[in-house]
Amino acid sequence: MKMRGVLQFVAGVVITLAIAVLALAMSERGSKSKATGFAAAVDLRPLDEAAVNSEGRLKSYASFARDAMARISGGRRINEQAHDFTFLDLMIRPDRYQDTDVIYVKNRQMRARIGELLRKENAAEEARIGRFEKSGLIAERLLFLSPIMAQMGEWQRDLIRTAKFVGMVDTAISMKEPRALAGSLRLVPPAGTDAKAAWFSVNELFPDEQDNPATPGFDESRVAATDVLDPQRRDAVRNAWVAVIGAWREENADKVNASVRELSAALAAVNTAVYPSRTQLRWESLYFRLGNLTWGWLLYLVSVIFLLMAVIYRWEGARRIGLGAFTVAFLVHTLALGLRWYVSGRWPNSNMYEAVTTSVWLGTVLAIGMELIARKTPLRNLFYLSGGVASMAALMSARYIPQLDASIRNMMPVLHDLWLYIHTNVIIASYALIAMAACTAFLYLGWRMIGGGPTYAKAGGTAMLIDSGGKKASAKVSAGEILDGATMVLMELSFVLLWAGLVMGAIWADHSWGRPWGWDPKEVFALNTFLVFLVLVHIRLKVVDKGLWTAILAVIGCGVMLFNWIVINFIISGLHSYA
Amino acid sequence: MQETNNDGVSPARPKGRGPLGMFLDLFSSVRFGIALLTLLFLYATVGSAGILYPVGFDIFSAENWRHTFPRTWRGVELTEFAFFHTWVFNGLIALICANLTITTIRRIPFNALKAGVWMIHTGIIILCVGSVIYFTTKVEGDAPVVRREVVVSFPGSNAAPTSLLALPGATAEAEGPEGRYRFQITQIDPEWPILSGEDEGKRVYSVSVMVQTPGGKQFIRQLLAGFPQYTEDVIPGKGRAKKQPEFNGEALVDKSFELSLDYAVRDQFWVKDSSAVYARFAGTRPWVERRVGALPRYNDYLTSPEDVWSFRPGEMLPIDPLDVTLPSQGIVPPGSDDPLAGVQARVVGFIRYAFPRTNIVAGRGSVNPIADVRFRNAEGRVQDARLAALEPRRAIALEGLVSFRWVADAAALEELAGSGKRSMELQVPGMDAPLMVHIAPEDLAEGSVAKAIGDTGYTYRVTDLHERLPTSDGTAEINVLVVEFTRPDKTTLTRWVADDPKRSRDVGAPDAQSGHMAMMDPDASISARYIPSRLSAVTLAGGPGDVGLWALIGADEKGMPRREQLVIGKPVALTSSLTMEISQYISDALEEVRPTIVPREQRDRNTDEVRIASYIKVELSKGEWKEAQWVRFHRYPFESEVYQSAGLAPYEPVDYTLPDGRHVEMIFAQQSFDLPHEVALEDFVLTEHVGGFELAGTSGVRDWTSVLRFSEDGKTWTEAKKVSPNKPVEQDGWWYFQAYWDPPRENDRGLNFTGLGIGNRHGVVVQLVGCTISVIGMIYAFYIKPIIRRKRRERVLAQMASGELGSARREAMALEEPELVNGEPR
Repeated sequence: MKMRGVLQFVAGVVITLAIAVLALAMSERGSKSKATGFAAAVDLRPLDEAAVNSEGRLKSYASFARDAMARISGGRRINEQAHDFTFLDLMIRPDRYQDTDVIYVKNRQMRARIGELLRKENAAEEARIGRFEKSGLIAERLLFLSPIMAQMGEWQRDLIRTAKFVGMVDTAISMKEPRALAGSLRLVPPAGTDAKAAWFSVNELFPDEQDNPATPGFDESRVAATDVLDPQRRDAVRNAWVAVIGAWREENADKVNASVRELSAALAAVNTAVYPSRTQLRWESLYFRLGNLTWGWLLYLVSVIFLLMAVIYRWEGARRIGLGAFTVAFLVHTLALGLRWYVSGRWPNSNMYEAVTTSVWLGTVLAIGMELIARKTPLRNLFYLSGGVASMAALMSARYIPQLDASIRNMMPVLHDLWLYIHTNVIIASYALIAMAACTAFLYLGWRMIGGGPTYAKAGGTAMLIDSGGKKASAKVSAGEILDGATMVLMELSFVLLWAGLVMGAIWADHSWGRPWGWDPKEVFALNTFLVFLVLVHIRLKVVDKGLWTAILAVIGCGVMLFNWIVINFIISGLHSYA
Repeated sequence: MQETNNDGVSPARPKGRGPLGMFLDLFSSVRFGIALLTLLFLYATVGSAGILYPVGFDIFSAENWRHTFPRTWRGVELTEFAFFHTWVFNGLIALICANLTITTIRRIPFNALKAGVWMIHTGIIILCVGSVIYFTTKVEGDAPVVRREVVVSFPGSNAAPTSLLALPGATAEAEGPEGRYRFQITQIDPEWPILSGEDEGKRVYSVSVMVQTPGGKQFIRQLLAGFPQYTEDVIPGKGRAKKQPEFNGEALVDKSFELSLDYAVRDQFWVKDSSAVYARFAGTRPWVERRVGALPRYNDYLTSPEDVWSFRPGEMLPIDPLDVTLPSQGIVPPGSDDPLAGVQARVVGFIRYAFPRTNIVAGRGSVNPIADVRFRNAEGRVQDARLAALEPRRAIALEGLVSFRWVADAAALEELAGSGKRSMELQVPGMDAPLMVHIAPEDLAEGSVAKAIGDTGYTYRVTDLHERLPTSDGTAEINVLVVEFTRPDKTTLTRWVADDPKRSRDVGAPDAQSGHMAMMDPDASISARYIPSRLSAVTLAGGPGDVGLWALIGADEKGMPRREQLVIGKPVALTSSLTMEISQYISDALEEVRPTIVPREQRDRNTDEVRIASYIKVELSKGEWKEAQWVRFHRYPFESEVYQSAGLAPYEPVDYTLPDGRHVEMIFAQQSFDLPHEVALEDFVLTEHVGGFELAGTSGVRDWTSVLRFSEDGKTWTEAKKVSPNKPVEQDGWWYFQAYWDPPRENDRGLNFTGLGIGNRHGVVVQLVGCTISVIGMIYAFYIKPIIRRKRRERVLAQMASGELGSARREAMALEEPELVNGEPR
């Protein structure tokens, strides 16, 4: 029996690992390119270990190109090419993109209107307009048509609804220029030992602008600034860069690949005193190439399917397979967090993307802890299940919602504080628990809808766990009681953490902003979430159908929490707009 | 709902009699508590997120929904913060506290099992008490503190020193024994490297001051903060004075005065979300403050449609005057007079978001033709111009391409239309009378040929044309034709032939040293005068009555323009891709500056909660006299415009003329609050990430640190204290926070001041104690109580097993589980 259980667990691990390997392979292939010919033959992986000074950080080239293309094409692939290839190709062979749909228009209403104008002007084929309306990608030439320019001017005057999006289009257009691309490509480290000194762009390697093979006519303001570098090492970079450009224009992939390898090595040799760890750069590139491992949602999905069967049918085999899958999913999730921590040099909890992915990771850790405590009680499996559902939903959001920007950026100065790690992690852990509680509450409501009686956990949540400690799942305990008990266990912990998190936030705000509580929307809705659970706690004292009210309020509490995270963050700005 | 009592709250006590009993029953009801919490939730939701309401029947279409914040409605006008401090909110919190207290005392037994609930309720009540202390005593605001000021003194003089803030462009004048000196800050370098001496390599704050002495000498004096011994003068164009032989190695050119750097101290701050009107007699310095109570914040309150210029034609604006009387007594600084003493001052209007615009209205018949013209290209881009025909500088626009002329009658219009030709009046030896020659377009073309001047043997060739050149004193414009004359002996002469012959000059050989061309008085034997065309590429011509308004466009080969009669609002094609339209034209115009309300969609959202673009209309009256003007909001009531160049605040005081003829300046700003000490900025440190602010903007900034000193007893300064985000410092009960900074700008390296948030924080410890107790209570209630309960239940079961039924019953009653003894444990 024991052996069978181990085998079932291993089966779960193997199934999930197989899916993970498949997802890994797809990510890796997807990150390379689906393009053919020259684009497919060029191998820019040596540049994964090259650093670029951008936005106050030293990023890997792949990470830099990804961020740059996010601004130009909204992260959409151009001609199925990888972003690192497209960035260089836009710079070296801009003529290829004269009439290519490269510029990203984010706002859907604007796309529809532009599409209308394009049709009216008969400026493009219907299929192309349709593609634009769907993907948001359009050629610069089409944006410069008179009626569209006039429309853009009008949108620019609406600061509330459209000006921001016009600004993004303008940024994309100006960034796409070869001069701007080359100017932003600060690959060359400075001389000396000052780790904060600005790096040089590739253009600054060329004393005479006419010698610059990439962008003749580039801004000369800092030309020859690289004269401060060791001439031999600087020339090695210069020659390698020239070779890359030449080979690229010849479309000689073998020569490009050889030159890129030389360039990467030459860059690292310019000034070893300030060059960052190439291992770290390689991991950063890999992290983004693997899609930030957010495809881990698929693994959680596998675990959720089996754990749900285990909960519904009390099927041990499904539990073990689900547990195996959950283990793999959690390890991949942990790896994603660990990698991000290693690459950014800080615990990932300082922007929306990080808060969402770390929140559910913390929730899952707590779920594992609770499951270990409840492993011999009727509540078992429910914490894994709810942790799996919350993590799956969060990782899916991180993968598919563009507002959750995975770019690694410097933290704002105000966030450099110990309380960031204490307050934020406590709060986001409570949010994860709230989501998990909503999951068990939904199950309860589902059970009631299919005819379950108004049963509930009489002792409460944690009390039920304590009272039933050591006992095995019993058929005498109704599903309603179990589900209500799990909801209460999660709700009680989230209740304490949310309140403690609010208090900690107030302590931080007091020494950061000068007042512990400012009635900022984010604060108010965190308090509102707490108020919902306060009502939940008290309403259990007064109503007969405690289980139903608990489930309804747990779902409402989750709704208020999500409102706080989504609507307040993205629509109603406040002091916490970075959180 | 049916009341149950199996979850920890004792059954309600027997209902009391009379009003007190009813009151206590109500306030010890859990249902009442839930209702209050629900109300609090709804109140907070409406205050923070606002409400959505449908405006159409198709409620599934997003277009049919609108969002609003009720707190911003007319008549409510509350900031988010104020919304949570209304009597309604305070009353709700008071009711919740009363409910908590009475319920806890009346219905929750004080025992080990209920200790958690007691702690939670007690903690929340203590938190509320702490919050009452905190919010009723809270004062907060901010203030910029400039790093240094330059102090001007004259050795041996008893006069008080003059000072000027070390901000770019700041100026001051000082009367010395030898006359009036003028000083101007020309450059500030926050990281000037000391180039020599034992301090070589140190980077210090450097301020360069341009000095103009009464004797007319001009030089720059460079001052280094903390290193007065390195003060030295720089001669413009030459370098350091001590390296010039004429100064015999002296570092200072002029020792009749002394400049030094001192702290630019601040002894007050300005209170957040407050309002005050500041007034002073024109020409005096300190403002006299009058604090204003509740003013609107989100809606416009106008006294008449003529209050503002509408943004869009035909726009309906809300007429809803205010009547907020200002205090009769102002806060008068020592040595100042209250300019509003005996004058009644009222705020009668408010505009939330506007910009000042000059527009024209019909005058009272005196001719002053002004036209607003809009040019539009095929891409829809527009260029606007305002032309005033009778003001030479404003009669032309767009670099001379368009001009506006006033003609007396139709004949004058004809004459103007015929004046599109350029010509030159010439007289050379051998001529009896001057000759008028037409300057055709081909004469102005490159490589034009020389033309004979009669049969005198002289020729001329036009080589260039400059029209509307400003004169060196800037008071007039001249038109110049550059002409090369060839004499019969084949010698040549190049002359700048001006329309005013007195301004004509002959061009001599270039100066050997400078390479500049020598300009000489004209050769008297050749007389020439340029007669320019009176028309521009587009000339508007207006005249009285039937003459109307015309456009004279371009010129044909004979110099004759195309004529188009202009109608307001009707476009006229200038070329195939350019049109012109008169949007406004008044022949007897008066110009007026009024605020223009910016449409909501064009407002900067970042300034939504602050009055950065707000105006109030202040009416002054005394007896029959009355004057009302729009006064713009200033973030800080500074005494001069010097802060404006540092990007800190606008400086746009308005001017009232009192009945006795004296002028009063007024601004609208926040209320001041005096600090018990002075604060000075010793240093400002910018810590950057790789590439820094220059490359990455704010993303490149790791930290901002203000190094502050505070005065003690008005005599000494404290040790330097560092303030940075998350690291405030306290002085005399006031906390200082790093709020904003002075970023580098074009031609200005910034870091000249710091923005400090300043506030008190009474009651925080009480709040924290309350919070801590409640957190401990929650942990106890959820995690410790079940363990205690379980142990007690096990004891009951053990007692039952051993036959101690009495003890078991007592224990079970204490557990509120009497059924346990009956064998029905839950």
